[in-house]
Amino acid sequence: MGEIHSKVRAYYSAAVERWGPTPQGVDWQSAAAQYLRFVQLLKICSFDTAFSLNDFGCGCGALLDYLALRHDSATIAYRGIDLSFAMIEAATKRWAKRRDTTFVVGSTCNGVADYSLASGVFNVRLGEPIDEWEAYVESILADLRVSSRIGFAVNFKLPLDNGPMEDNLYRTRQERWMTLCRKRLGCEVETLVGYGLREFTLLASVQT
Amino acid sequence: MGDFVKDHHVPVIQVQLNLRFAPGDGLSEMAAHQKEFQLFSPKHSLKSSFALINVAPPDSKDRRGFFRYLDRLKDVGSNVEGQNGHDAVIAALKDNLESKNPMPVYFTYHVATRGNIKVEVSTSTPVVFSPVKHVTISLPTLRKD
Repeated sequence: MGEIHSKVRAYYSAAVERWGPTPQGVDWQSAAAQYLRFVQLLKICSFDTAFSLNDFGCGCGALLDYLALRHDSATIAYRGIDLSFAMIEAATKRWAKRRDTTFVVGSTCNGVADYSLASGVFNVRLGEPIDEWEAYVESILADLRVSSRIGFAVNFKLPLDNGPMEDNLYRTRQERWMTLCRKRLGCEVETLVGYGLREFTLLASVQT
Repeated sequence: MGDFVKDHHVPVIQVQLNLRFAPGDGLSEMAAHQKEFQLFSPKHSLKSSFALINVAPPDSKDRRGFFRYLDRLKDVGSNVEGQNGHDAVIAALKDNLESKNPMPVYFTYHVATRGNIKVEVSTSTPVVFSPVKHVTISLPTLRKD
């Protein structure tokens, strides 16, 4: 697992060095596409009361831009976690003035919050064999489960209509990960599809 | 266009736009952005909408030039009655993406003459080897000579 972490860290550190704190810097096509993903992921959260949030694979903290735009009045204690030192450095500078906001370097959440989100962290496989990448995905989902009091949300790319999966990417169908979250992690699961992107979002509520 | 963006970068923008609005995943994504964020609206400039979907040349000087070009479309006409070029592009994209069956959009350029610089919006089959109907938006340019 350590080797995967090193590769992922190097990949995203290079991206942020090249593009700066932008959607391209975290390997998204555009800000609009990134925001569309946040819309889906945040459906796990109830905005009626204050809550705490782990943002795993936070990059430069783009989720905070989106929250400021759409949920300005919500009280959210935010904790961003990323493997990349470069990302965390950029994020810490950028959000230094936001209250209840911390950024940490890590390969796990390493702290419990009401909700945990992870956007796009499973997509770039960097040529890793599928079984090893899926073991990595499982380990992250298990960590998100133990780090979330109420629920967590993640997204995955769906397969292409024709043609094999790209060596660099990971694409999958819902069933495998819904089953894992239900049976192994004991969650109530819902998936969202058809929101304009070739992917699905998995919302997992922690059973109490 | 050369006054705003280097000539050889113009086709790059055209390809970016035509991929964003291409049949299939591209068009579905744009329709979703329209539904969720009202991406194209009289409330937002074309510049800010295109920036959000990351349509712009890679070079930062050209990027600024392209955004200036988009703003300048406010000063030119269109073949849509009562609308300047800038607003005609927004209205065409908004109406199409909000329709029941959005069509792909094809962006192209034409050479205008001084005194008659217009954005042209139409419906056509612009890809010569394809029968697929597109909303076609032709942006005006002037020849240097």
